[in-house]
Amino acid sequence: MKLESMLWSGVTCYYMMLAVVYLLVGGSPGGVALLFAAAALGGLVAGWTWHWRRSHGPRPADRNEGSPIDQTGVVGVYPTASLRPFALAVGVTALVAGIALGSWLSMIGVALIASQVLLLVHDIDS
Amino acid sequence: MTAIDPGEQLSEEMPPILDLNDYVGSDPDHKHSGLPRTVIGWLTTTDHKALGVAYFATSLTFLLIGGALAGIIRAELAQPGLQFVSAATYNSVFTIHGSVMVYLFAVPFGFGLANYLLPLQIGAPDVAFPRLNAFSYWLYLLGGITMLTGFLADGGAASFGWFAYPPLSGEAGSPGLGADLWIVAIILTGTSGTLTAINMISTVTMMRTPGMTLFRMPILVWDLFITAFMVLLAFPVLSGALLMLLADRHVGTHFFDPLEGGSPILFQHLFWFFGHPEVYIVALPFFGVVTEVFAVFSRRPTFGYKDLVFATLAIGVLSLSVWAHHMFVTGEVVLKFFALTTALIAIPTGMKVFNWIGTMWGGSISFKAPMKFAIGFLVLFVGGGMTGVILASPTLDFHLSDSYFIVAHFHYVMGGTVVFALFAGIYFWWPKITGRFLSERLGTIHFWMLMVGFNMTFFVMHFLGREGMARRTADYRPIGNFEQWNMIASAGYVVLVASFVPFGISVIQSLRSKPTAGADPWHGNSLEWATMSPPAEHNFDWLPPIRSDRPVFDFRWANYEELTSAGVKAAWDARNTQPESASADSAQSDSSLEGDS
Amino acid sequence: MIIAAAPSTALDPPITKQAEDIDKIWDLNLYLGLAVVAFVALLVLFVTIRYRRRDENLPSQTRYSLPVQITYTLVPLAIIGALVAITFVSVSAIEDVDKKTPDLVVDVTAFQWQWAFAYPEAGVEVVGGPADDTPTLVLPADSTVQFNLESLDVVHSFWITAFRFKHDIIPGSPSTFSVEINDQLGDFPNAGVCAEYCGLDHAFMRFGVQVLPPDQFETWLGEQRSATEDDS
Repeated sequence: MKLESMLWSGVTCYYMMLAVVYLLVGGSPGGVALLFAAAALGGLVAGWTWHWRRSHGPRPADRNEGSPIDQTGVVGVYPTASLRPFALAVGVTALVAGIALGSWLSMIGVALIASQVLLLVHDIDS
Repeated sequence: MTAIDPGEQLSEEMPPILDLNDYVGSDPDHKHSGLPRTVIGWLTTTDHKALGVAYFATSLTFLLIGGALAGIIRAELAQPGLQFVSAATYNSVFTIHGSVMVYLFAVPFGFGLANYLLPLQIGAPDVAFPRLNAFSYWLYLLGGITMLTGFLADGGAASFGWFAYPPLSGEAGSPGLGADLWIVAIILTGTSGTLTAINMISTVTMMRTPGMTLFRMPILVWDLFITAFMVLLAFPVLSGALLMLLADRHVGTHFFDPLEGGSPILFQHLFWFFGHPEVYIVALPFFGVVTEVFAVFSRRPTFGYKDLVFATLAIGVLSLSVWAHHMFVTGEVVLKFFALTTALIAIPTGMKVFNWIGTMWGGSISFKAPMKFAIGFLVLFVGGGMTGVILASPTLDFHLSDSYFIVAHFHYVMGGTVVFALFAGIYFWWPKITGRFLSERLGTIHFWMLMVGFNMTFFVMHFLGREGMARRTADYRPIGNFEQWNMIASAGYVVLVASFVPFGISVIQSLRSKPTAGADPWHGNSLEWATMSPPAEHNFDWLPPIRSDRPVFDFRWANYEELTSAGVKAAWDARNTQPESASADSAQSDSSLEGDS
Repeated sequence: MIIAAAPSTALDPPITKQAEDIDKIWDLNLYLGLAVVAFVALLVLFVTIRYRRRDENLPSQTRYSLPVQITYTLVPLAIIGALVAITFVSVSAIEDVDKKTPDLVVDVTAFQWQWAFAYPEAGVEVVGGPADDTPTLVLPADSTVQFNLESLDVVHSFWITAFRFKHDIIPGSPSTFSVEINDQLGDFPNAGVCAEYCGLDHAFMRFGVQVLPPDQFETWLGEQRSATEDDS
C-alpha cells in the first residue's frame, strides 16, 4: 500500500500547489475552487491509504516474492447474480428523468430506489 | 538471441517451452465459462466479463448510431446549400453525433476494457464491487436511451452542441424536452462512470494477486487506473454543472443567466474542467491496448516500462491543469498559464510514442491484424498530436479555434485511439473473449479501407479550418476550395463506413466457427492468457508465479533462466517439488485463489 | 507557404500587423510539426521493414537504454520550450496592442443571427438585415482600431479571418480588443463569421470587411452620417 499512498499524496500536493499558483496568476474563482476540490478529493483517498497502512501490514500483493498460495482462502463473497443493480438503475433513471418529464416519474423512482436499497441492505439479491 | 521456436520443443536436450493450455484446465461443455444465455441471466449478471461484453456491444451500437448521424452531416455538407435537412435538424444531428460518440461510445468502450480485462490482468476473480459494477452498466444503457428519446420530443433532440453552453442551453435559449432529456442522460452516464472509476480504483488497490506489485501490472492496467483517477476528479464536476443547468431551466436558479447576475463563463470553466480530462479518459485505455499489442507482436518487452508509467501519471495529472485552452478566445482566461500546461502535456505523450517505437525496435514483428491497427493508431495519433501542439499556442488558436481545424485535430486523435486502437484491441482479445479467431484476410481489407476512408474524410478539414470554415455550420459559402474539400470529405465517409463491412462479415463468420483458440493463441505476456478462452467463472483456477510485468511470457520460458525473469524458475520449481494436494483444474465456486501445490 | 499558394484560397491576406506575425509563427509551427511527423513516420516505416519477422527466433529483450530515454525526454522538452517561449512573447505582443490609444473605436453588437457595427464617435451604425443582407465592416488602413464587443442574447464569436483572430462575445460580459490595421486595402466579403455556435442560423451569421485608405474612410463615414440624418 506504500506506493498507492505515495501516488495519492502526490496527487494531493500537486493540485494544492497548482491551485495556489493559479490563484496567484489571477485565475478564475471557479477554476481555483475546482483545483482545491481536486486536491481535497485526492487527499480523501490518500488519507484512506495512509490509514489502511497504519492498521494493516504489508500485503502479499506488495511482496516481490509473493505467490498465489500466500492468499489462500475466501477473497470475497460475491452474489453470482442479482436483480438489484438493474432495478436500482431503473429507479435512479426515473428519479432524474422525472425532473424533465414530471414529478410523477420521480416519485416512482424514489419508490423503486427505496425498495431496492432496503433489499440490498438485507443482501437479498433475487 | 535464442534460436528456439517458441511453443515447440526442438530436442530432448533442450528444456521444454511451457504451454499454458496444459495448465489452465478445460471446460469442454462450457459449464463454467461463457456468457449468460437468458434475458434474465443478462439482467441479473454481476460477472465483470459479461458486463464487459455488454459495454462493448452497447458502445459499438452507439458507434453505429453516431456514425449514421455523421452520414447525415456529410450528406448535407457534400455541397453548399441545404439539400437534405433543415438547419434546425442539422443542429440536432451534430449535437447528438458528438454526444453519442463521446459520452455513449468512446468512454463506455474504455469502461468495457476495464470491466473485461482489468480483473483478469491482475489475477483477480472479479472487481471489488460486482453489483455496483452492474448498476453502472444499466445506468449507462438507460442514460443512453434517454438521450436518443430526445429525437421523439416536440422540437427534436438537443441542438446546442455537445458542450451545451448557456445561455443557449438555458430555458430561454433551448426550451423543450429534448434538451432536458439530454441533460438527464449525461447526469446518468456521468454517475455511471464515476461509480465505475471507484470500482476500478478499489480493484487495482485491493485485489491484485500476490506478487503483482504496482510496477508489475500491465501498462493497460496502469492506464485504466489513471483513467479511473481522472474520471473520479472530472465526472462529478460535469454532473454538478449539468444539475446547475437543469436547475436554471426548471427550478428558478440563475447560475448561468447573465440577465440575473449569473455567469455563462462559469459553466465553461466547469464544463472544460471535466471536458479536457474527458478526452484523455477516452485515449488512455487505448494507449494501454496498443502497448500490449506492440509488445506481443514484436516479441519484445515494453521498452521503458517505468517511463511509460511516469509519462501516463504525468498526463493524468496534467490533464486537469489545462482546461481553459478550450477557452483561449473568450478573452477571460490566463492565457500563458494554460499555454504552458498544455504544451507540457506534449512531452510525456511524445515519450510514449518513442517507447512504442522502442518496443518494436530490434523486434521480430508480425503484422497480424492487431499490429496493423496499432501501427495505424501510431501514425494517426502523432498527426493529431502535432495539430494539438499548434493549438496549444493561443497565438495560433485565436484563428483556428471553433473552425474545422479543431474538428480535424480531434478526429485525428480520436481516430487514432478510439477507431484504430479500438480495432487493434478487438482483433487481439477476440480469441480470449470468444475462443475463436477473426479472419486475417478480412482484417487486412478492413484496415486498408479504414485507413483510406478515414484520411480522405478528415485530412482536408485542416485546410477548411485554416481557410475560415467555422465548425457546427449547416452550410458554407462556395469560396476557395470549400466545395471540393467538402466533397472529398463526404466521399471519404462512404469508404470509411464501407470498411465496416469486412469487419462485420468476419465477426459473423467467426461466431459461427468452432472455438479452437486455446488459452494463449498469440503468445501473450499478461495474465488474461493464463486462463481458458473464454475464461472460467471467477477467472482463475491456477496462476503462474509473478515476477515481472510479463508473467505469462516468463512462465512459457520458465525453464530458460536467461530469458525468464529472476525468481520465476525457482518459484516454479518450488511448486513442483511440493506434495500435490489439489487437482489442477478443479473449478472453485467460492472465490478462493490457491496455487496448485 | 503551401496553403496560401493554393490556386484559389478562401483565406484573405493578413490585414493587421498582428496577423502578419501570426502567419509567420504558423509557418514555423507547421513546418516544424510536419518535420516531426515525417521523422516519426520514417522511424515507423524503418522499423516495420527492418524488423519484420523472418524466423522464429526470439529477438533481443532489452528493456531500457538510458541514452535513448534521456534523448527522447530532453529533445521534445527543448522543442516545446522554444515553442512556449515564442508563444509567451507573441501573446504579450497581441495583448499589448489593447493598451494603445486607438485611432478608431467600433462597437460590435452580436445578436441571433446578425451583426451591428457602430462608430460611436461619428454617430454611424451599420446593421445587417434579414437573411443574406449581411453588413460590411468598413475600416481605415494604417490605424489602431479598438473593438468593443457585446452580445444581446447567447454566446457568439467575432471572427475576422483576415485578422487571424477571433474573440468570443459573452452576454453580460462586454469585452474589448485592439488591432493595428496594416496597409492592405481591399474588399473582403468572406472575412467575417460568427464562430461560436449560437443556435438556428449560426451558419448564416456573417459579415464582410472592407479596408479603405484613411481619407476615403472619413469620406465614407461622412456619407453614412448624412444618410442617417436624411432618414431622420
